[in-house]
Amino acid sequence: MIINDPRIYRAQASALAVTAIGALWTVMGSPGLALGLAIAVAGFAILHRAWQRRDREPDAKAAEYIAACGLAAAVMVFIMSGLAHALIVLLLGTQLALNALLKEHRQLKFGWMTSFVTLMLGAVHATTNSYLLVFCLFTLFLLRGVGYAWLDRHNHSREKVQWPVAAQGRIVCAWLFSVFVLYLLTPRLDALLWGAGGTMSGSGYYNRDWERQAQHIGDTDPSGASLSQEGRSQHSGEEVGHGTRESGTSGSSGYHGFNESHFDITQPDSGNGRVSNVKVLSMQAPHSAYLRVRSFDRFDGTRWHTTLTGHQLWRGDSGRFSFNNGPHLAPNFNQQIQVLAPLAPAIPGAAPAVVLHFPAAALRRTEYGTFEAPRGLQPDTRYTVESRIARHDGRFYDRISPPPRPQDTALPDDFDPHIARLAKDVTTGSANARERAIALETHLRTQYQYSLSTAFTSQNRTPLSEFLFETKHGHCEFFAAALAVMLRSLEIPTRLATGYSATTYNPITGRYEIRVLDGHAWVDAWIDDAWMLLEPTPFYPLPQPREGQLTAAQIETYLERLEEIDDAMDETGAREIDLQRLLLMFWQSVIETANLIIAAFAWMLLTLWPAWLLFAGLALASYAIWRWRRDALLDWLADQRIRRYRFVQGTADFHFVFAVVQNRMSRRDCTRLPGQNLAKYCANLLDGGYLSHRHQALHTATHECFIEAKPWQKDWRPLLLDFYADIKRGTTTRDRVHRR
Amino acid sequence: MELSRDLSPQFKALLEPLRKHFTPYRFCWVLTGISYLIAWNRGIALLYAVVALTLAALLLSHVLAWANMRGLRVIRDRAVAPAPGETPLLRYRLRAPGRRHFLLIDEPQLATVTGTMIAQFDRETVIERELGELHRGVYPLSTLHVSSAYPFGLFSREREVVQKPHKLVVYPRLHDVLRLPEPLVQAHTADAEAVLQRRRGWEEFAGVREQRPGESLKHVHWRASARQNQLMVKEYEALDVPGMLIVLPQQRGFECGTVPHSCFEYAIELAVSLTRAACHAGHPVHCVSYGKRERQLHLAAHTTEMSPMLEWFAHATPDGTVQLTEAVARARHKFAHPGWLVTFRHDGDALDIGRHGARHLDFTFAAQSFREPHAEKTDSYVNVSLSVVRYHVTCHASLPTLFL
Repeated sequence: MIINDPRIYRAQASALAVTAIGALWTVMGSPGLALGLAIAVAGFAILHRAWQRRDREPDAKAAEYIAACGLAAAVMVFIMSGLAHALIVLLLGTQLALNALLKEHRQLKFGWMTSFVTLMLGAVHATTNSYLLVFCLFTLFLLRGVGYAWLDRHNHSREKVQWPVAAQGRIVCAWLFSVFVLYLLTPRLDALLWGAGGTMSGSGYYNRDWERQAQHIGDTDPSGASLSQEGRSQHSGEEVGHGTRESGTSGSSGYHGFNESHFDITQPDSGNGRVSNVKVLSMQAPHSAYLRVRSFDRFDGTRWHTTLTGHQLWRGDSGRFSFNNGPHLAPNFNQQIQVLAPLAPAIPGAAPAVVLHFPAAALRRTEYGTFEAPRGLQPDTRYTVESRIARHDGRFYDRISPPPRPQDTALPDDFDPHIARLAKDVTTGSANARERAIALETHLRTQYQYSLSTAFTSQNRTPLSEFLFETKHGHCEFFAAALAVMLRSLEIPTRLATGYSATTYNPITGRYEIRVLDGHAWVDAWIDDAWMLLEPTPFYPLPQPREGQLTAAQIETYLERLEEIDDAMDETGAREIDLQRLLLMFWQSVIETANLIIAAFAWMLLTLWPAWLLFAGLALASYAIWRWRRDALLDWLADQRIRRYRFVQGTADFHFVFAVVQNRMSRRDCTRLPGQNLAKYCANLLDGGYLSHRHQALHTATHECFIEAKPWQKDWRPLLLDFYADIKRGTTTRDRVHRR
Repeated sequence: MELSRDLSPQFKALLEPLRKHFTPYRFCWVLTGISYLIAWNRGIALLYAVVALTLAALLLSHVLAWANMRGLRVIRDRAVAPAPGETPLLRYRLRAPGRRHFLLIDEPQLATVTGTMIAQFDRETVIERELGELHRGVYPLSTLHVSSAYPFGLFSREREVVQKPHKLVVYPRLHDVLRLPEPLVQAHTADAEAVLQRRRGWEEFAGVREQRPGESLKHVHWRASARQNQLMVKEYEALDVPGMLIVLPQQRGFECGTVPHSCFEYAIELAVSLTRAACHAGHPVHCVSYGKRERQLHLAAHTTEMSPMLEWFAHATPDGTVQLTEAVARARHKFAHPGWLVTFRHDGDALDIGRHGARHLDFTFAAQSFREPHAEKTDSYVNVSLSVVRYHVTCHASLPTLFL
């Protein structure tokens, strides 16, 4: 069936434009936006031409040219940007070619399907909430096109059917409201991850020296990756091997916790650069995690040091680096991470990583199990970390990393004995190392306050003593260092780990947002023959499975977390107010209002439930009566009206009886048509079996009353009543037959 | 280009089930399901938004379609029997408590007719629908289907509305016959007959009757009209005026081709056109058909009221068993001396009617051209002999020009 409405072509072109711009902009950035705009303009031009040519043979040659151009563009994008991006361009080229042939209604479906697949591919790569708008606009244009297509298929007149803008506006509002409610109520199950492999993309991580060294040694590990070892040495307190790489290694944050050899807890970042909510990483994973970058084992009172400075160079198999030592160590936690801002070469990932998919030929692995790329991580780099995490009682354990060494229990030379006493006091009553660790963690989380603006001022005490006994507030390095030292005073080996806290889950994108502010330090303690992750800083939640299965609950959690981040930044005077924040504030007020209303309803429901129950029962009964006995009820009311009617002996009596009769019959699809005289109406009723005879006398009476204006006759009243009784009898009989 | 042309039928065969079953409504459900599965499996939360978007569209489609049909009343007026040459008309009255959109009224009994679309109306409207695409016949109308796919056309909510049953009669098409066909031996008498006709020398006054709509005032019997207080016209009985006997073939085998380009429909149109022409020319007409039961139609000369005749032909269906030769014999037995004998048959069928003094209009239909209209285009022609005018009619014949 040929399309005869240009509005369908326009809707199709708009949907294609949204798809092209949205998908390409999302996956390729500014070049993608330019390419998307070009495709959108081409789409409008091609569909305009297709509309003008719809009465002729389809221009297959033009379609072939367009498809060839799309293929060439896809090849170029593949060379420059990668396969996934090329696939999107290829799909868009295909749709342009299909649009060139668009003529019939059935061809629209292929366009819809191609757009849908393109948008899906874009969604896989999307990391921002704005992609929601792309989906929204696409669906809007799609529905508009579907609506016009339906009108076009069923409208056989030459006139174009109008669909008023006001009606469309009302529908869009209702639709958006429904979308909003359904979106909030959509249950979200934990990801199955069937068939999910490691994905990676990006370029520029190739280092010929590293590759040559890894290849030269040729020491192949059981999983197939080659490794070489360099600088395997253990030097406590000395900066050997690659030395300290303080400058430039912390990427955009300026956080010194990611330095290779040491960092000072009193000056964790330079120029307060960590206090920013700029996103640096985005992670897609089944649950939150701490992405480790560095580990430190020796503490001198103010600075943490690494004593294991050896590295291993690993050569990957097509970007896959496997550190698996057996089938019992199969990975159980998959994280797909995208770099959003320039970062240090250290590759963040949940420890212990078993498999790493990274777009490099060779990587360096430290003896603490962390990784380094040949150069700093660049935006749009994607990599996958597969980790083996043991979980017990809601706690995360690392059972793969090597056991502790003496450095992991060493206390600083000027260790304050008050700290050991505090640790002992807090852990009084704890039966084992695990309970002691958790008791100390809880103590720090509950008795101390997190602050980003802490400055070390005391001249007499060590920084930890001042934090624990005087100021009682500080940033995460104080908390982590305090816990680590206190645990060591109880002879529990500990290490201080730095990395990113990936705990802010954005339910709209389905990704964990990792900001500069999430650069963090925590503690790994050797408990029950494994490294247990401990989080003493109250600001940071422990990694845990996502709470709430409904989208609304997850959004609420997300907003609360954003509020906490705002509060933390507000403390340092670095709070940023932007459009997104304003929208979030608006959203929060909406949620709070909704909560208030729900609470009010809940109160009314709980206190007045008998009345509600009664009301609901009555409403249900009324509905049932109306639904199934409506005609009978109205007939009964009509009977009552006739029975109680007092005749005024005039034309009003005829009007009244005829009105009641016509009402009764209109419920049975026997409406008296405009201009139909009584004789014809009665003939219709007689044909339908609602009257037993013609009531000729009544016709005569009506004529005499209305036309001849005769005075009221005595026998007219029985005539009218007889007419009504006949109708009543007829309807009852017919209804009974109908029910059978 | 060649490749695409070659592959096209194969693709068509592959895509045919897709085209048939993959409706936008199902597409939305599939899209929702796929989105949810991918979102669930891969944890791509943005696809939950797609689920909400499509589910909202489906929800609105169901709810608004229901709301659109709520309280809607549709009444079909009795179909007006159209005048000859006019298309039949159906009139619907729609009433609703408020504004309604995108309604489709469908008559299930009229399978060949597409539904009537009403884009929008407020509270009450009257829709008139011309059924130009309806073929000749009698269509019993009872229930009608009302559906609404508002607002997106994704989901259609249907309702069956019981209406008072009645019949819609679609008359056959009429073609102008300028002059009744004459065989060679009769041609010389035509002028004399015309003179007779003008003088009414062969008609005898039979009585008076009520004037029917469309009848000329020149036949009004004014004295009788004054007595009866209504217009009465004189009625004549033809005595020596040659009549026309039309034997309509209603045997099952006669129907070949696809309506409206079938032998039977062509025969009907020819018969009805000749009937009207004969009546106008002042000849009485007798139509006989032997279908399931024998049917006869008698029209007096100068009859102007064509509706009974058209209705008679509208009811004709090829459901009989009597063969043409026998049908003609039976008809001649009843009407012994017709002036014209009109028969219709396939070109391969034999017709033995023996000796007769009538002018014979013999319409032979090229059955093969009706069975395979695209095979070869053949022209129609007329063969005039001493006592027979034989028309060879093909599927591609232009009936309006056949008698020119």
